[in-house]
Amino acid sequence: MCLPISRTKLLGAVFSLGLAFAATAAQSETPPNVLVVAQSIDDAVSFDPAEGFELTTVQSFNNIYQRLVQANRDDATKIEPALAASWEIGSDGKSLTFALAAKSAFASGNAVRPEDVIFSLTRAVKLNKTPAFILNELGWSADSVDAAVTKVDDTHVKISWSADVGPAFALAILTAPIASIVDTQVVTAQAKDNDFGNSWLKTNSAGSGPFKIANYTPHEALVLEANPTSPNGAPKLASLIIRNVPDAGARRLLVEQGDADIARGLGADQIDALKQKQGIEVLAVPSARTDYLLINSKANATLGNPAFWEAARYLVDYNGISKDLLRGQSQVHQAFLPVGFPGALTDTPFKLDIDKAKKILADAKIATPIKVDFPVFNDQPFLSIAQSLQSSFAKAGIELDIQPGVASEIYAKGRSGNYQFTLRYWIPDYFDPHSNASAFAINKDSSSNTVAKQAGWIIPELTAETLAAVKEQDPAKRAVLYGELQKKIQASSPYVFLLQGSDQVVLRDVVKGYKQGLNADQVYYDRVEK
Amino acid sequence: MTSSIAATSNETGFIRRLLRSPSGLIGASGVLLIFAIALLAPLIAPYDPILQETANRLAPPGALHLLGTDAFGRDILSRLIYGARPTMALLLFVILIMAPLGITIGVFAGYFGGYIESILMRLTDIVMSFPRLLLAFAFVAIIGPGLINGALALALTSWPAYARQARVETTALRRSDYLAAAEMVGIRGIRLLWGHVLPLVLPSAIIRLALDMSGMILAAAGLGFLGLGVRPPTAEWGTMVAGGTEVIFDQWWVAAAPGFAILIASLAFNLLADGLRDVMDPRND
Amino acid sequence: MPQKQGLSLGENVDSRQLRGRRELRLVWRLASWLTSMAITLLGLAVVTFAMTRLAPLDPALQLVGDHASASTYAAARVELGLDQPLPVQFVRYLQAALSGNLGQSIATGQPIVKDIARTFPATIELATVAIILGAFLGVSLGILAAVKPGSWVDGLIRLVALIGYSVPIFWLGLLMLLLFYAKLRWAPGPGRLDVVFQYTIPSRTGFALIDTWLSGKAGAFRDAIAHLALPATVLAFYSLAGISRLTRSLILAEMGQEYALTASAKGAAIHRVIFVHILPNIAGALITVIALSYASLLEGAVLTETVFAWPGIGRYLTVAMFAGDMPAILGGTLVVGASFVILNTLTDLLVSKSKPGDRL
Repeated sequence: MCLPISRTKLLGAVFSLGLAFAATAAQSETPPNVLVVAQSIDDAVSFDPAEGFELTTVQSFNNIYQRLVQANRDDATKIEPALAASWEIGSDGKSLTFALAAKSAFASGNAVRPEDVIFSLTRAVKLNKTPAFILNELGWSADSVDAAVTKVDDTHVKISWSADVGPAFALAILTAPIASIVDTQVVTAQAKDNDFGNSWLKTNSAGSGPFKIANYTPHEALVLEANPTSPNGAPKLASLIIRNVPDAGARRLLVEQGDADIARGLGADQIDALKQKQGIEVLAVPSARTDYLLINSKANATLGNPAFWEAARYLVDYNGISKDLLRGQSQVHQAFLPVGFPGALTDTPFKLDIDKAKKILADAKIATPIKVDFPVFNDQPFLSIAQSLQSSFAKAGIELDIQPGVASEIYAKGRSGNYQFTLRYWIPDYFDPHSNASAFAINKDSSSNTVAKQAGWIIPELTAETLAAVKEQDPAKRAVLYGELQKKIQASSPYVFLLQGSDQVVLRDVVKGYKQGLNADQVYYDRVEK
Repeated sequence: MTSSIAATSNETGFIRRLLRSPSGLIGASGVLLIFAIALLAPLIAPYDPILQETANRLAPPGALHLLGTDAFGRDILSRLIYGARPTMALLLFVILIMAPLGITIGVFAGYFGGYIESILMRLTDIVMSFPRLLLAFAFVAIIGPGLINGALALALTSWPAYARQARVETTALRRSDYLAAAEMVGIRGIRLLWGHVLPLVLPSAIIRLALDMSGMILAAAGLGFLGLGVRPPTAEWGTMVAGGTEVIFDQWWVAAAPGFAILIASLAFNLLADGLRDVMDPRND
Repeated sequence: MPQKQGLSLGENVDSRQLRGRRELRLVWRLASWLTSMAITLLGLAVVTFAMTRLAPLDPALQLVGDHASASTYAAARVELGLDQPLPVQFVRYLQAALSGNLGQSIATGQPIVKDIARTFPATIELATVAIILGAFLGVSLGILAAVKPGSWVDGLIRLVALIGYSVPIFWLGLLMLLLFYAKLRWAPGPGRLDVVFQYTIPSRTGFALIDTWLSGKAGAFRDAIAHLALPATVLAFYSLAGISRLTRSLILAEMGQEYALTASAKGAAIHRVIFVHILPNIAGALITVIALSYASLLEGAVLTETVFAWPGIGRYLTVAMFAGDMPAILGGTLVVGASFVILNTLTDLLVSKSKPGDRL
């Protein structure tokens, strides 16, 4: 019996499917004068510079806002004028008076005045959001900040601080994204319930940078358009679209086929595959992220034994991880200041040496096998590094039990001391060695939440040295002091520094003028052209 | 109902009939094969599944490594073989939690009736309406990855179907002469439930189990794919697919092989379920 | 057993009373259906809330990060209402939820209702296109197989269905992406629309097909279809497996019935027998299966959306789960769960309506 009807129905369905596939001559070029970046923006919480502290937001602040001073693009240790044309150090060494650059205006057209500087800095302290602790380093609190930032006259503003730090440090703090200057008039018009405009600024911009936010759809895209009147100079692009593409494989395809101009956050293997292709360029930018192992010296007697710390230093397959697993996405680095910061220690005295580690353990009478809990971020590259560590530590009788977890879980464990051994990373919060030094080398009495405190390591002498280093005004002397601190910590501490990250950015070769610096926020789109 | 009574009183005939149906034969042998692989893994796997050889990572299939190596240089074939273990272990856990829980609730509800039945059935209806997979994901995402957590999550969301089925069958039994006869002889309460009701409720539960198992395998693989499965470095098929996703466009075998294993396992259980249904209830196709 | 007293013969009941009784019964059924749905939803809310609150995740820490000062952290705890006892938190949450406020996402800082309103339509669009495809193909294949049971066509269709049941959907999606996107370049890249259209089409309804059609832009509608093609096909494969098997077995069962035998004895061609006589009878059961399949597509979106980077609620939930974004996990699970519950109870209602005696 024949059933022409059903058969044709079926065939028709298959045919139209095929048509749908074939009909797509996928667009291969992105529009000229529009830069399309493929990355994950799932981490973005807020585009208010007083609140945003994630990679996505911090990278955009550099392009949307300006600060009083900025770091030089090529040598971040040099500080250059931005919205401030010049500055003078006060006689007591605890204040700076800035002369604002003439004829600077925000994207809205409003002029940049001392009132804007005061508003921006004081609101950041008073809102007390995630990055506020950076400004707290200057001794500013919600009560004291109004007196600390004052208008001298229509073109001058004075900034003073009570903390025991030098002017170089204060300038470094003022280059941080949280010190971005926002347009007071636009923001206060949008303020609700005394929030200083925070809820509006989460998804909008009011700055003087080369771009402004045209549209932000969380989890989908950030669309920036050019701000031609920016004191920084008009950008070469007309607009910049940062597309959310959470899957690394998809990002790789987009940039390969020209549907995106720049792709970030690709895996090492994907980048290897792309290096061979035509029209693709891979830029390896050293980043300031350091990956380290954190040992909780208070967890038990074994973990508190400095011999265990020393043995651990010899049980990491540094080369295997950086060369084979991560394929150039990280370099071996064994000190707490990343390369590029003044005073960074570049010695790498430790190598994988199982026998030496076994001997150290045996000499210290530490019995193996030992079982150690190992909570780790449920993400790459941490899971990869963790598995390599598991394999190498096992050879000396130390069994690491990998427990993947969400970021907040790992942080909570660190803070409460409820862990034994973990893999963490540190990104400097502002471009000054004190950011890292204060984390790893300060713990007098476990009162403030530093990494040393999380390791249960009490170090009054190192603390004193660190505090002296931040006060020191001579940059050469400072560098020497930090070098000494790193040597001491490298020799014996409950930290094992493993790697310094390298950000590998994939660009299509039509993209010119892209610049990225060492610190997380130093991404510059203003001179990019296609 | 009559066919299942006939089945239990004719065990050897049942197995013979199962093996005569083609799907039953293929399915049963497939399932047995996978169990065997899981049990004998240390004997048949060519390499240690967690041995890393980072210098030889992502090697294509060849003489040394029949299915190539993964991103850590571990032999994929060995990981595939060992990967059968967490899958089978999870299935076992789930069966041990889900079936007894569901059947007990259903039998109690059907036998005692009245208030107990209403409450238990209401509970069953509520849990049945929950989005199973979603809750399992949320549960594991929140409590943390791990074999037991995954099994718990899947089992706690899947028992209602068994309860419902057991209740209907128990209710029908309650009105039948079969139970009345046993009660007259003096068998009551738990003894009655265990000895007379349970054996009659089991056959359909077993068919449902076989069908469910394929879905469980897929759900467990899904958990592993999302990163909520077993902890590294344990080999598990879903996690292996996830691991291969990043390199799928160049080294597609890393993701293809474990996915294929999942497919075969799920297929085997589906065929087994088909065969069981053919034997126990030939009316249905 | 004593039967309930109904109308005994001889009693004079007028039609108004009869109608009144029927209406009362209908109202009663509707009320009990609504109540049971409300209880189920409440149960879902309790379970999800309990999971999120009793977890070892700290939403405040997630929000402020590890470097934040103690005072920032404390302020965040108060802002998220975490300093209140659990029952108070739950009641507050329910109150807010009922008035349309599901809280703020920790990860995006946006109201969750807004996030969901943006992502849910994407999932619904994908699931709907997939179910239409799956149902259409499934029923067609089932009919085809039933017409010649035991033939190679039948065997092939049954094999396809079997594979459809057994294949892991995320793996299939990956392979299809590899084949059709990477190797053949037939299908466009991940996402709902190409870059060219994505930021220039106004989003009026949240459904790409409708919005591109309304925008009138050349090629936009075709682009939307092209992007839907691959993920919808993958999802459809799974539902067509179940639907085709059921269609086949139902038709085969019905074909042995008297009315079908009579019709074909009278000389009706087989396709007439199927379409005119059998299909209407099995329509109810088919619709039930299709509806249940739809519900499970909504639920299973988590996996497909991850593979295809489809910006639907499944991916939203996955991101939230990995970010430890409690409010978003809670809100998203509730919304998807509620749709699932509503669909299921509606289907139950359909089942009990078409076969009142059958309460399995």
